[in-house]
Amino acid sequence: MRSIVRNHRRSIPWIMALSFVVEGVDMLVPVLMGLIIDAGIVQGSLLVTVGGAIGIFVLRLLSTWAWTIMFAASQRARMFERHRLRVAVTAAVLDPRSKPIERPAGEVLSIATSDADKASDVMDMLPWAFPATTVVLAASVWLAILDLWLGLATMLGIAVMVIVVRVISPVLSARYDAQQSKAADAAATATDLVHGLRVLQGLGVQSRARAQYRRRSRTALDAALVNARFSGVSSGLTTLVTAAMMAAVVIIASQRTVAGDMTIGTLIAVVGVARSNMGMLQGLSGLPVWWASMSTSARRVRNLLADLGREVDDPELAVERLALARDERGERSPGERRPGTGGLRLRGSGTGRLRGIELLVPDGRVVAVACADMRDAEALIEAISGRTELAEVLLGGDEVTRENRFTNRADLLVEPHVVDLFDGTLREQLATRAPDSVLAPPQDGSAPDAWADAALHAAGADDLLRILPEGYDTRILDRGANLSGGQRQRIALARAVAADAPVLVLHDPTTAVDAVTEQSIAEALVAARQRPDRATLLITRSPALLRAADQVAFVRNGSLAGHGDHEDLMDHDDYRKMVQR
Amino acid sequence: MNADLSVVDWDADPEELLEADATARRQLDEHAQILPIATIGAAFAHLGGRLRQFLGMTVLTLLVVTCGAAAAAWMPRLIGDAVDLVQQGAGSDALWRQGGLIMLAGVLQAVFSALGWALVSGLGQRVLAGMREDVIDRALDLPAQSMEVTGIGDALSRVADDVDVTARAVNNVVPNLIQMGFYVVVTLIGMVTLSPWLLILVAIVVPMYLLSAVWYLRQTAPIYRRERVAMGARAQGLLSAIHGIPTVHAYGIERRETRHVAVLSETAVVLGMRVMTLVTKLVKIVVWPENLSIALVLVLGYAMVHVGGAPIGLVTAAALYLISLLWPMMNLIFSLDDVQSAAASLTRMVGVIEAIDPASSPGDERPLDASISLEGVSHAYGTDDDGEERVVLRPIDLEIAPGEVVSLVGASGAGKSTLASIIAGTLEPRHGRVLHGGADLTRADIEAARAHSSIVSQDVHVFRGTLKEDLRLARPTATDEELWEALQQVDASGWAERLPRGLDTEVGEKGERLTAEQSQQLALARVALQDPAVLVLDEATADEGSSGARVLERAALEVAHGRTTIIVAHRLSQAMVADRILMMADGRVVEQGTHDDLVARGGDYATLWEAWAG
Repeated sequence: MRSIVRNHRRSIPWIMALSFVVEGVDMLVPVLMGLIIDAGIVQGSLLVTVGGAIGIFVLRLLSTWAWTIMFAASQRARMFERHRLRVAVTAAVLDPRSKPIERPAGEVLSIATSDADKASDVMDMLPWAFPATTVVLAASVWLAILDLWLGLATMLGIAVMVIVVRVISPVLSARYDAQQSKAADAAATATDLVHGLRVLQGLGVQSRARAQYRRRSRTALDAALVNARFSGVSSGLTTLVTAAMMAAVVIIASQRTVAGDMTIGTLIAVVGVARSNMGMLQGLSGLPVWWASMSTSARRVRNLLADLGREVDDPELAVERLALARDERGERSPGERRPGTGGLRLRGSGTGRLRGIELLVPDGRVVAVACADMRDAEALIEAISGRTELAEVLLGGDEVTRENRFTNRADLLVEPHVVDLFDGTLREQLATRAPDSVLAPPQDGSAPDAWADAALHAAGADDLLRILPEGYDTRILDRGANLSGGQRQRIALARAVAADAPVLVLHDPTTAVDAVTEQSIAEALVAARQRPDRATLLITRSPALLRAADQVAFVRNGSLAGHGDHEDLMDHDDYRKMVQR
Repeated sequence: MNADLSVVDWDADPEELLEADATARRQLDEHAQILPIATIGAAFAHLGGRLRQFLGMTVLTLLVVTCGAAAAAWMPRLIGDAVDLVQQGAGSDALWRQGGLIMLAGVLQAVFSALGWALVSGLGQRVLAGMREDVIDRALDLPAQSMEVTGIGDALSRVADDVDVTARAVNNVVPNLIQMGFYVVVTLIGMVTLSPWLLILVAIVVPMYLLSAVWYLRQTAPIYRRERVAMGARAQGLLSAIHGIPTVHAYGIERRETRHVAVLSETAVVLGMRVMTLVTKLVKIVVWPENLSIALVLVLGYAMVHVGGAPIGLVTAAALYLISLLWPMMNLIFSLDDVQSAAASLTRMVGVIEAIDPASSPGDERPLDASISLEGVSHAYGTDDDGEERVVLRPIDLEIAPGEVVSLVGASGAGKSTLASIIAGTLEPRHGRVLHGGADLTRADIEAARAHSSIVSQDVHVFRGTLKEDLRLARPTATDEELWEALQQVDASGWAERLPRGLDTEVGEKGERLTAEQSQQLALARVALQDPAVLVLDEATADEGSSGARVLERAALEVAHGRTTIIVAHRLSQAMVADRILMMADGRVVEQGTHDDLVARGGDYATLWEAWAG
C-alpha cells in the first residue's frame, strides 16, 4: 500500500486539490440556491434570479470539468497499480530465483487478481475520502457559526452517525465475510464438479453431485438472507439518523427565522446543506469497511511477495529482466548449433538415497537407467537438476550446483515427468525451446516444418497431424486439455527433442503410451538423439526403451546392481522381473 | 507495443497490445462461446417467470419499496410547508408539530427502507440460488467426452464467474438501484403534483438523462465483454503457469509466461480505462441537464411565485426535491456498469438453462444382466473439408458375456478409447445400437443405465471436501466401515489411515494433496462403492508412480472382480490376463482371441509380444 502511494506521490496532491474544489462546490450549491431564492424570488428581482441561475450553471460546469480531470487521473493511477501489482506477483511466482512456496494455485490467483485490484482501490478512495470529510466538517462549522444549537445538532447527528457506522459496520462486515465464504464455497464446489465432470459422468453419479451442490447453494442462500436482513437494518438506521437530524435542523432553523435571526433564504440554504451533508455522510459511512478490505488485500499481496523473498518494487521482476533460456543459449550467430558439452557424469559419492552410483553419459550415446524403486529415479532427477547438495553431478567439466542450475539450462534439459502444456498451437508447443538452429528453414528447400515433423516422429506422434483438424496450427489448450494423456505425453516428448539440448534427461517419457506406440518411439527417439555431440539419459523401466538404449544401468536400493545392455541384463532375475511387470 | 510492460500506454489499441503475444490474441479471438447465450429479452422473461414463483413476496416487495419512496418524497414537501409556516410567522407549537411530522416521515422511510432492502436482496438471492442450481444441473449433463474442454472452460466461467457477478449485484447494487429508481420516479411525480410548472422541467430533463444513459450503455457493453474475456484468459494463463512451474523452469520460459499474463493484464486495464473515459464523458453530458434543472427551478420558481402566486415553501420543496434527486440520479448512472455486467452474466446463465434440456430418461428399459452387445456400431467426429466424416471407429458387432474380461490393445489413434466410451455408454455412437443387459441405451432408464456401468480413465480428479464426502459421491448411504472396506480393496487404507484426520481429512484442491497414484486408487474405490455390473478401465493404471509394486493394477483387478470388464491396456501384462484380447488398428478390430491364441497365430500381437518379452 505504501508502495502504491509512493508511486503516485507527485500526482496525489493536485488530484486532492481538485477534489477539494469539486466537493466544495457540491456543498456550496444549496447555499447559493438559498441565497438566490432570498435575493431573487423573495425580493422579486428577475435579474438576480436569472443571473444567479446562470452563475450556478457556470460554477457547476467548472467543477465538473475539474472532476473529470481528477477522476481520469485517479482512475489511471488505480488501473496502473492493478496492472503493476499483478505483473509483479506473476513474475515473482514464476521467477526461479524466488523462494519456492507451498500455496495452492487458486490462492495465488486470487491474490494476483482480486487482491491486486482491491489494494489499488486506495487510489480511488484517497482523492475522495479526505476532501469529502473536510467539506462535511466545514459545512457543520458554518452551521455552528450561524447558530450554536444548529451546529450542535449537526455535530450530534454526525456523532450518532459515526457511532452507528462504528457499531454496525463491524457486525455487517463479519456477516458479509460469512456470506462471501459460503458463496465462495458454493462457487468452488461448482467449479470443482465441472472440472471433475468426466469422472462424475464416468461413474454415472451426476444426480448425487447435483444434490451435493444444492446443499451448498442452500447454505449460501441462508447466509445471504441473514446478510440481507442486516444490510436492511443498517440502511434503515442511517436513514433514521438522517431524518432525525433533518427534523432537528428544520425546527431550530425555522424558530430562528420566525424570531427574525435568519432570512428565509438562509433557512433554505441551511436545510439544503444539512441534507447534502447527510448524503455525503452516508457515502463516507462505507469507508471503514472499504479501508479494511483494502488493507487486508494489500497485506496479502505483500505477504505473498515476502514468502517468495521478493518485493513489489524489485527491478529484477521486470518482464525483460526475467531469464529466458533461449537468450542464454549462447548462439553467437543465428542458426549456429550449440556445441556439445562432453556429456553428463555422476561421480558416485552420492547423497541421500543414492550411494556410489558412477555413471557416464558421453556425447553420442543414449544411456538408460532402470531403477527398481521409483524413489531412486526421483532422487537421481533431483541430483541432476541441482536440487540436492553435494551430488557431484558434472555437466561437461563443471559441477551442477544449486547456484548454477538455472544458468546451465541452455546445455541441460531435464524434462519433468508430469506433463504441462501451455495454451498455443502445436507448432508453438514444439518450438517452446527450439533454438534458431533447429527452427531455421532447411537449405534444401524442403518443407519449412521439417524440424517439427522430425520432432513428432521421434516422439512417435506422427498420427497427431492426421488427427488434429488444423495440423500444426491446431490450438492446444492449457494443460493439453483437448488431448488424451498419451497425446499430451508425446507432445511433451517431441517438445524436448525439438529443444535439441546438448544433454537431455527424460524421466519415464512413455508411461501413458500403449505398447505398440512405445515400440516405435524407442527406435525413433534413440535414432534422433544419437548424434556425436548430443548426450541423452533415459530414466525408465520400459523394456522397449531399455532395449533401444546403447547402455543400461540397473539401480537397486540406491546403488548400482548391474551394467551392460538390455539383453545382458535380462539374465539378471531382479531386472527381468522389474521389466516384465 | 512498448518494450517495458510495467509502463502502460493508455492510448494503445488493444489489438496492438495483443500483437506481442500470439496466444493472447488467439484467446481473445477464439474464446468462443460454445454454450448458448440468451437474448436480453429472453433473460428478463425468464427472470419474470422465476419472480412469479415468489409472487406474494414480489408484490409485497414492490409495495414496501413504493411506500418507502413515497415516505422519502413526502419529506421535501413537509420542509416546504415548514418554510411557509415560517413565512406566515407561525408559532412555536406549529413548528414543533411540523418537526414531528418530518420525524414521522423519516421513521416511515427508515422502516420501509430497512424492510425494502431486506426484501429486494432476499428475493434476488432466492431467485439467484434457483438459477445457479439450474445452471449446474445443465452443466453436469454436458457431453464431457465429446465436447472437449473449450466448452468446459465456458461452462466453468458460467457456473463460477457469472454466478459471482450476479450475486454481487444482488447483494448491493440491485436493492440500491430498485430503491433509488422508485425514489426517482415517486419524486418526479411529487414534483409534478407540486406544481404543473415543474412539468416543464421534468419533460426537458428526463429525456436527456435517458438518452445519455442509453448512449453510455451502447458504448460500454462491447468493451466490458472484451474486458471480461481478457480477465478470464489472464486468470487461466496465470493458473496454468503456476501449475506448470516445473516445466516453466526446465524450459526457462518464465519470461514468456509472465509476458503472456502481462499482455492480457494490460489489455484488461486499457479496456477498463476506456470505460472510465466514457464515464467522464457521460458525466460531462449529464451535467447539462442537471445544471439546466437547477437553473430552471430558480427561474420557474420566480414565475410560480410572481406569476402563479404560489408560496415560497413550494419553491423550497421543489429545490429540495431537485437537490435530493441529483445524488440518486448520479448513483443510478454509476451503477449502470454493475447492472450491465450482471445483465450480461444473466443472459449467459439463462442461455444455459433454457437452451439445454435437463437430462431425462429416453425410455424405461432396464439392463437385465451384465452382458453387452454392440450392433453395427461406428463413430466419426465432424466432417473434413471434403464433407467426409472423420471416421474413428468402423462398423463393429460385438458380444460380451456377463463377467467376461476383454482387453483392447492397439496403437494410439486406433480407436480404443472411443470404443471403450461407447461400450461404457458415456459416448453415443453415430450409428448402431448399444445394449446393456438387453436394454438399448437410447431407450433406457437413465439412472438405471448410469448405475449399471462405470468408466475409469486416466483423468483423475479428487473432489474438494473430505475424503468421506468424495467417496460418498459414489454411495451416499455408505457407512464408515463400508468406506474403509472399499479403501482396503484398492490397497489405499494404509495411506488413508495415516491422513491427519482419517476419512474426515480435507482433500482436493484445498486439502491434502494426493499423489496421482492415490487419486487413481480413490477413483477405483469409488467404483467399488458404486458397484456397477460393467466396468470399463480406460488406461486407468497407465501412469503408475512410485515403488513399482503394481499397486494400481492389482487394485483395478480387485475392483473388476466379478464384473464385466473392458480394459484399454497399455502394458501387455494387463492384456494377458483377459479372457479375450481385441487388437485394434485404424478404427477396426484386426485380431481377436485369447493371449495364447494370438501368440500362436503369429500376427501383429505376436510381434508385439515378442518385442516385449524378449
